[in-house]
Amino acid sequence: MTPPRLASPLTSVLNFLLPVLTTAALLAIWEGLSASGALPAEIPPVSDVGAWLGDNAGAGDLWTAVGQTLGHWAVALLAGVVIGTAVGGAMAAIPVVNELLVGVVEFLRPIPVVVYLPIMLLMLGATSEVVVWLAAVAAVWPMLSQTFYGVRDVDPVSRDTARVFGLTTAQRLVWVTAPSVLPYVSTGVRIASTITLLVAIAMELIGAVPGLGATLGTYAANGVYDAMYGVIVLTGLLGVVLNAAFERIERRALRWHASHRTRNA
Amino acid sequence: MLSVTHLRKTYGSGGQAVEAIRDLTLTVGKGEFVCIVGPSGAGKTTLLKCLCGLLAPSDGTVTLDGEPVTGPPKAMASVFQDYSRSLMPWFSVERNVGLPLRNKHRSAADRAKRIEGALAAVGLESFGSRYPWELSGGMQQRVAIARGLAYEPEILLLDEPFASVDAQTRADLEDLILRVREATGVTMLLVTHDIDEAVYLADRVVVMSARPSVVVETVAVDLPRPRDQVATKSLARFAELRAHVLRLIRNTADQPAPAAPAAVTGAAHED
Ligand SMILES: Nc1ncnc2c1ncn2[C@@H]1O[C@H](COP(=O)(O)OP(=O)(O)OP(=O)(O)O)[C@@H](O)[C@H]1O
Ligand SMILES: [Mg+2]
Repeated sequence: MTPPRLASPLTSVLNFLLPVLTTAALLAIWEGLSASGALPAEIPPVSDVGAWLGDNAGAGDLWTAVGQTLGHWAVALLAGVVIGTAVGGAMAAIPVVNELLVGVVEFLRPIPVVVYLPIMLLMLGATSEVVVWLAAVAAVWPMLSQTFYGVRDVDPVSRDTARVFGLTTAQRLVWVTAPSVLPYVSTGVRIASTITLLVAIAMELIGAVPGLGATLGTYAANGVYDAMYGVIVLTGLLGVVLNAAFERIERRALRWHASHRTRNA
Repeated sequence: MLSVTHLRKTYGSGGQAVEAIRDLTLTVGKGEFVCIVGPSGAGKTTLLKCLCGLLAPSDGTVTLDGEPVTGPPKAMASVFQDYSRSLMPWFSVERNVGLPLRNKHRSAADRAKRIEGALAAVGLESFGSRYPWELSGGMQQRVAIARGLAYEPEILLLDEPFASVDAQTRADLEDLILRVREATGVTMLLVTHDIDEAVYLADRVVVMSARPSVVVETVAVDLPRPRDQVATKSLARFAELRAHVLRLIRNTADQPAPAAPAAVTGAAHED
């Protein structure tokens, strides 16, 4: 357990202010370097990037691209979570399944999904399916290993308790195994979400599949650098927002877990 | 009737094998209260796990009413020694106590009534909506006891159920267990380190040797019932029995177990 943060007004102001200050300082240095001409022309001043984002905040095209990328992300993550959790859980719970799959999994896991891109493009063209498939594959691995270790880690005393009191297999799964695996799965989802977004954007970029990745690629190829950096900033923000959303859900769902407990007397 | 014949339990195999139980034979009659005492590591928890079908014996048999025990019997409930880990941290106290009731009682109102009753019996009626980790160790232990009681088993196995409660609560819980047994006729098998407690509660006290364990002696407790914390414990007979059990334990704790099971004296096996 992490030690509780001191909640005095001063420290909470500092906790908020310090990251803001470092970010502002870095942006100021960037602006200064651009102004002094120390940076190459491919890196525009940060004020230009900000101006572009401001001008395009209402642009339909940009939001269409965000929507496409989020669509890829959502479908791929859902598929990856379902498949990874099911396979990981089965491997942990059923020895035969583990023996059958462990070799294949160990072989496939380290292969970066980008190697499948050429064949997928040949088969399916520059379509959303390609992006979703590859991002889903990337999401499977963290889900699979998190679930596997989660199921292996179910407290034997909890298991014994469930058995002694005659819970059925389904009840044991829902009331004992699932809740104790949930913290692992939750961490897996956060890791998988980040990876899925990353892979989706990368595949869009390389495969020129409509989405933020392709938008970025187009701006880069045409030398519209303030727009290119604007898109980069946007992808960063997207990642931060998604991660924060998952952390919020996790805090709610895992109130009972040691890492989220608050003793209220 | 629960009976154990020539039970042997060895953990692991080869060089790392641990012979926990060498040879145990004992019977627990219907409605009887049997306490098991023995030094730490003697294999008391191991014995209970074999009895409730969580562990397969290496040798010998466990039968319940003539049927061999191969998995947890419906008629049995357990209060685990590791009480804090046996409560599910994701469920409230109420849900923990109600966990085993789903398959016994269809109506939610029925279950709620039993949960409430069991929690009230252990003095935790106002803690139903709390989580186990919000309670002290002793309170968690009482929740585990309440869960065993709410299940209304025919046989209740209790593994050092009062180890982390204060003396007053301990006495209260002992009397609670005696009352439950009086009222429902449930068979009780209780493991304890506390000789006073064993003599106070039991019809028979089974004294186990150090590991690899055998039954040193089964002591019949011929104290009158109902028992009373003050009156019973001031009887001369109580002091005699207590001294006798203590002597048995002292003698066995520092000696290796004999190869053959010692002769069983006292009331031993009726039924
Ligand atoms: N899962 C296991 N694997 C290997 N050895 C074990 C295992 N469980 C228990 N043992 C060993 O078996 C012996 C008996 O253990 P057990 O827990 O039954 O003792 P106990 O009489 O309940 O002790 P205590 O009074 O301390 O609870 C001990 O020596 C212990 O180390
Ligand atoms: Mg024990």
